[in-house]
Amino acid sequence: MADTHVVAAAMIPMGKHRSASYAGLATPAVAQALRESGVDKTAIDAVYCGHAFGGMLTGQRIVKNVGVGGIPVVNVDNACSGGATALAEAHAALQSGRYRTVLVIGVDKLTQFGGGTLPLVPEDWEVRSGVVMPAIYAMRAQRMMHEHGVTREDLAEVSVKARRHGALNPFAQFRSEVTVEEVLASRFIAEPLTLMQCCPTGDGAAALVVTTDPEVVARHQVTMRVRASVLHSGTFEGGFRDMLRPEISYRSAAEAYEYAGIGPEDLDLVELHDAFTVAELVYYEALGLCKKGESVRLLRDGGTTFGGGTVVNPSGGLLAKGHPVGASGAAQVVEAFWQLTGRAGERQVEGARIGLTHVTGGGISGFDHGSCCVHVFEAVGRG
Amino acid sequence: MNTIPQPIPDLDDPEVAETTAEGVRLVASRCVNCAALDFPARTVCRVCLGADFRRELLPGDGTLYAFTTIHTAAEPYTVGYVDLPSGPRVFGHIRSTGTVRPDAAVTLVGTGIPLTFAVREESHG
Repeated sequence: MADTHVVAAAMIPMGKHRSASYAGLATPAVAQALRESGVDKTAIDAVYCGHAFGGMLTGQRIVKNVGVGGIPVVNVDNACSGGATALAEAHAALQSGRYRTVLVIGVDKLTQFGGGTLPLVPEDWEVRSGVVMPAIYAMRAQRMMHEHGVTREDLAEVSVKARRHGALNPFAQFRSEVTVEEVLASRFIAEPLTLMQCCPTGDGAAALVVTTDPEVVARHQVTMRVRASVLHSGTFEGGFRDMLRPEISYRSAAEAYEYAGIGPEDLDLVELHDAFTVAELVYYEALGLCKKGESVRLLRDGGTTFGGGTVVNPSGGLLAKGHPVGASGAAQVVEAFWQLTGRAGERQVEGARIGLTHVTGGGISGFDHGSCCVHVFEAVGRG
Repeated sequence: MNTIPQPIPDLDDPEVAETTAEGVRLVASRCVNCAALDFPARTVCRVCLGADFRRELLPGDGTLYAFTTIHTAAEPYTVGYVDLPSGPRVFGHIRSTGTVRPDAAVTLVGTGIPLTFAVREESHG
């Protein structure tokens, strides 16, 4: 079977778009991706739409606005991994030969809840007992400080980098830089994490046109092919878990590298799940970007910003770009596409050829995370 | 013989703890078939799919793996994970008295949900 190529990608700027419905958020991204795809919309064989809070038939409510219908539409929830899961499912269907060209959407509108933390499902008794996602990550931060001597300033530096990258990104929810002092002075959410160490409440949508059709691929000077697509759910553990080594991300990344036949040193860029500052430090290790206990040094040495060996979250990541749950995984792929096709403007990673995207979806008691989705992409140019 | 699977009324708060003569104990389930221990108690074994369980009472002393004070509700509250020597990791509220650190020794106080743990006094001499 021919490789899966992403031939077009689009997103709306993330932010608080209270007057836009799910269709209002996603239709402009879908329309632009279709226009740029070189594909007539009658050639779209299926739609996969990742979202967590859109309600019934969200994908259908979106694509009816661009005159797409009659074809299979699959709505996908995997919490914060939804958008990436939609791509993983599309890729699997393409590789099976079931479809040739597919539209992938990721969308969510968190402003519908007012403000506050991500609504978790109260069927889980820990949720009924008062757990919230920031608390899970706050405990990771506490263990990092306790086990590795990570300081509050070290955590804040993750936000400083994210906001510096986001300032270069017209699609980011936050486009202004911040200082370590400002990050630490913002109010506590779950100690030691302060407001500016947590991803914001926002809305967003991203769309991709994905194909195995060589005629479609040939219409584009540069495309991005999928070299690995890995999806896992967490494994339940009722007893001790090392919260600094979330097995699901370690496992998913290792498999992705194996499928792609590369190692972390081959990555030019990574878009990882920095929902909270400590997450980035944990995931440097889980993705093999550094050894255990070396995350802060990697960050402070500049290894993960522009000019460094592997630029992490050139888009600004979830912290600065935003994290509308189901949209994020797809938006990461949009960023990877722009980077690998040389369209990332001021935040272009020089010579970007190979990129990795990583999202996780939480929280259920007894799991590091409920889901994790990792992709590896490679730029493919034609003369 | 066909058995009809019955729904588990797990939206009702489980009985998680009881007060005994020896102190507050956590109510866990032990699978009769494979000995898997679970807290809160289960009615379907996640290991062997068995449906027979023994009620087991676990001492409430444990080690506080990590905790955090949450500021997203009307009043701040402190939660954490406690590792019990018997195996399970338990989520609960932490009644902070003075300086609490990770890996502190804590003990269960009270039997309701949320579970509440307090720092255990060090014994001297």
